[in-house]
Amino acid sequence: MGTSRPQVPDIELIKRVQRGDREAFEPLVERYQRRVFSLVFHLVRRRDEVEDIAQEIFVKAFRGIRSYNFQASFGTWLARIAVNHCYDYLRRERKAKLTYYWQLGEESSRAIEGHAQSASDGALNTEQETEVRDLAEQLLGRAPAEDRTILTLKELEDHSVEEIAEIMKLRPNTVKVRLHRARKRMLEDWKRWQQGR
Amino acid sequence: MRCKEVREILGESGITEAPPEVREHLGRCPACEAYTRDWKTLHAGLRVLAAEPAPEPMLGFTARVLRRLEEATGTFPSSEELLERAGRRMVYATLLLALVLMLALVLPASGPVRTQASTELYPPEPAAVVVENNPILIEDAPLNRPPTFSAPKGDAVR
Repeated sequence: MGTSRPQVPDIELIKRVQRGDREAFEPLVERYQRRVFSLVFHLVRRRDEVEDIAQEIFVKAFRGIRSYNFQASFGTWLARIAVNHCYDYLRRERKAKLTYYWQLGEESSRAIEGHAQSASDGALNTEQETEVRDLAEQLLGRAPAEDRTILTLKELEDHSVEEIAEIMKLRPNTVKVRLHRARKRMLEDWKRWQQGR
Repeated sequence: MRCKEVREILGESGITEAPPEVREHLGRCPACEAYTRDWKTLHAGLRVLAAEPAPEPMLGFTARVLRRLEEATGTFPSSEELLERAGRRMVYATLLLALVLMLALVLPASGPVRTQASTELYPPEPAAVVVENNPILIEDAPLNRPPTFSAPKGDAVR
């Protein structure tokens, strides 16, 4: 029976990196890469870009590690860097691309609206799932970067309001207000879309 | 209960976990009921998106990050290095300024070169003037006498 080597705590590794030991950064990348990949994927929703963006995030983290003061956990601090980086990426993307149109026909619109009951019962069939998934994806894609970021952290990454507040350096009440506004705007956008505006 | 509060609670806790007063409000507020229906649909779509697996880091991801770090730190100096470089430049600039000031203070305001130049710029008055106003000098310094070849005596003054 093999014995696994005890894991060096994050704090020790971070202190070593802060003293200039680049090799100590390697286990930190190993530990947090999956979490960063998931966050980046949910925020930007571009599989082909995830690795590149994740690399940039780790490079940023390495460069800024001397400013890490151990107040938040390393995971939260890293998530903050990732969120800011993806936020900038989304804003650049939004500026660069032309608005795309996903045709939401009257028929499919009615069909999607009719899924509400099944959705609350948790009884969506595969086709219905695909429809509501596409709708959510398109609406997220159309949303401003700020709304998209906060809704992703809450609904896709399953963070609590307090965790989001820590990541985004906001007060929990501000997070609640922003979440409410983001949901409202997204639903309004859906309505406008259905009406072809 | 106000519509805004109801919608905030619904957004946070979900419909199934909503407290009785929220459910009661939904029963008599068509606007909130429509909002809830739409949010249920959208929320279901978001849950499907959340369940989709994110791409896994490819083999060698860490090595690629470390290589990128080496390239990045080689090409772009870190903030500490930038500060250090800026500080060093400030020190050099201060030293240079101090040296210039010291030279300005130590060197004499006029030197042999400057004196020579000034004599070229301002030639001495004709000796005749001095001579005429200073009868003593005329006696002591015969070389200062005006030329006497053909001009009358008074013309030497002009």
